[in-house]
Amino acid sequence: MEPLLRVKDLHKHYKDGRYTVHAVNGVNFDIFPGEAVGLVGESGCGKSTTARCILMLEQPTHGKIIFKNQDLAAMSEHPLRSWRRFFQIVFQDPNESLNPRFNVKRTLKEPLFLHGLYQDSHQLGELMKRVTLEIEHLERYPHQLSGGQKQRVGIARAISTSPDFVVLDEPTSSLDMSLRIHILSLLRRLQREMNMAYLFISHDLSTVHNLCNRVLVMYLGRIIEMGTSEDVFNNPQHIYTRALLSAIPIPDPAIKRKRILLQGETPNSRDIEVGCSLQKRCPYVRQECSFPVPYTDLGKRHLVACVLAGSEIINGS
Amino acid sequence: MSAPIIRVEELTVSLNTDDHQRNIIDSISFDMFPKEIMGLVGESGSGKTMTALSIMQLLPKTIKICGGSIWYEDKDLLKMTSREIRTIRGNKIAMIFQNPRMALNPLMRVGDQIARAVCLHCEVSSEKSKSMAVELMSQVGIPDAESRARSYPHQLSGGMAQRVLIAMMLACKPKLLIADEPTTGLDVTIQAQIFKLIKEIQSEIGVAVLLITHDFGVVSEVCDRVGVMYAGQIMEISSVIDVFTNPKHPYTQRLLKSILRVDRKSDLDTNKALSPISAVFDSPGCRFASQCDCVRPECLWERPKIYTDSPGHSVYCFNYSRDNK
Ligand SMILES: Nc1ncnc2c1ncn2[C@@H]1O[C@H](COP(=O)(O)OP(=O)(O)OP(=O)(O)O)[C@@H](O)[C@H]1O
Ligand SMILES: Nc1ncnc2c1ncn2[C@@H]1O[C@H](COP(=O)(O)OP(=O)(O)OP(=O)(O)O)[C@@H](O)[C@H]1O
Ligand code: SF4
Ligand SMILES: [Mg+2]
Ligand SMILES: [Mg+2]
Repeated sequence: MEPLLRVKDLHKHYKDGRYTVHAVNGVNFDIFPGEAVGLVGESGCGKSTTARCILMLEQPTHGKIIFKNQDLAAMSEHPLRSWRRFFQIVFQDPNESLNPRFNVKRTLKEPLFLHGLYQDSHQLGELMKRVTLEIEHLERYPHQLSGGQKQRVGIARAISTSPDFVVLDEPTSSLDMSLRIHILSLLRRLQREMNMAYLFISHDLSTVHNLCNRVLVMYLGRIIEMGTSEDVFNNPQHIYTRALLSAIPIPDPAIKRKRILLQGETPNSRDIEVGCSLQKRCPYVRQECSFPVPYTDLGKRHLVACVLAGSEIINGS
Repeated sequence: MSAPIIRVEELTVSLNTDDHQRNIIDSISFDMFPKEIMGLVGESGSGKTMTALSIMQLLPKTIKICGGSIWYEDKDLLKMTSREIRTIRGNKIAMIFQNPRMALNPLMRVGDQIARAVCLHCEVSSEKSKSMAVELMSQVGIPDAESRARSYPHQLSGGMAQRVLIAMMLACKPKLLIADEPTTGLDVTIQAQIFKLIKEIQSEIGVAVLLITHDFGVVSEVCDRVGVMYAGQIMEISSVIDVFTNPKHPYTQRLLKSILRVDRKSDLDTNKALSPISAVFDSPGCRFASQCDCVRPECLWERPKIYTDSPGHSVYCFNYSRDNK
């Protein structure tokens, strides 16, 4: 199968005074039609910046965004506009992404009009049904909806143009746990019904494990491990992934785990250095780590940028 | 068992607006014992923060305590004068918040803020308090404490700012620490460091901790006991082991089913959605009744009585209390 999206050597740098922030620093991955890919990592590692570049909400500093065999990064504004119906985004905070002065009807109509896809109000009713909202809700304004309902409106807006690809940037982070699971099951149902591919961004690894087929683990602007959910969650091979997973508390008092504690805080993405970006915090650091670390392929495209990947040191003991 | 250090009895707290009064905390009771870590879990709006602020007597102006007592060492905090409260708040009972930077003075170096707390609580010279502040900072794991003491709050990461608040708390050696979602907004690797620190301090100085969270993972790893809140009512209180292995209340059971775990896949399609908490505040009975699968007629108009399943495990639900009569 051909990938739907190929991201090639993506960089995004920002100027911050006399520093350069390397928010995204050489990222490569593919997304295939209909699959859900998780993008995880700690705050500031570059997840949202990656998403904004892929969707061309920002011009990448360098790199190719090949969507259905077209390089979006090289496209001019006019043709890009007509391509936008094929890729959409849902944001974390529906309060920020929904216009408080628009009722639901107007919010949903807008993208349809923009792409010349609006037929009749029946279409809006169908859309509401899809995301399990009532027709009456069409007349409501954001302040008259609960958090979960607002997030469903955000989802309805994103899927209205029947996109092939949707970025979900922390769509459930602002929701309570009993709601989170419903939005996830809704997202999964929609994905299957409409055969959409997802890039699901989250720092909540439990959510990603439950929704995604594949996972990309990002640290300081780079993807340091990627593979199937099974491989990454059950057999993580980068020290950072292992530390991250071991830090997540498990709601089961019967489970006692060994925790890998990283030293210090997440460094800033302007202090980039040659070699593994984890070297200052890694309890296993060695000399090779200060040279560029290529990916080791452990099979089934399980790629790990750690000199210890697959070694005894990680897997023994 | 030793005597509780704090005893909340039928605490009721209400929000008064122009047209009506709403009990955002509806007659809750619980005890806390010395040196234990008790969790308070519940979804957004369930009243966790208001419970904490009632104990601290720091409620916003529109919100009033309208019933119950909060006993601290045989004295009812609710009957104390504001001067008496001040000898306890920040002294015997301290609190750390979700947003540590907001709790710090933005215009003052953090070392000086800690030193001021030291001065307030120990009779030492200001010179001595400064060196004690630096000591406290390294004790809570702040690297380069001497130079970090000269930082202003905005120059610190969220994790470091929370450590500064913990250092200030240490200066006063409280008997009870209330931690209201102290790691929300921090990364999990930093969260793990902060909870490790809180547990170390708890066992070192023997402070009891009331830990507010909505994360059952944190409850499981950090707490000894837990209270489950919904819409201003406590639904169940039990040991951490019991809440996971033998949850009694229909709400607790429902909540546990909606947990996603990182170490395995769950069935995403099991639960019905709960309505937002704000919709159930005015019910005179069990506030979970409109969403409960086991609801009985009395649930709608009468408050469930306490049912003690085993020592230390209480449930407020008519399904049990009926048999108990
Ligand atoms: N417009 C901008 N100007 C300068 N720096 C920026 C800008 N946008 C992002 N950054 C920086 O780029 C880095 C990556 O930010 P990004 O928002 O992509 O992280 P993230 O992984 O989405 O984090 P979070 O989990 O907190 O949302 C951060 O250091 C951030 O401060
Ligand atoms: N300053 C305020 N004025 C009026 N009502 C408030 C105020 N703060 C909170 N409330 C209301 O009091 C109730 C209890 O809120 P509380 O903040 O204690 O919930 P919580 O359990 O701490 O939730 P969260 O998990 O979101 O922090 C809610 O219905 C909330 O809307
Ligand atoms: S008291 Fe009634 S409504 Fe409340 S949880 Fe028990 S059975 Fe359900
Ligand atoms: Mg982001
Ligand atoms: Mg709160």
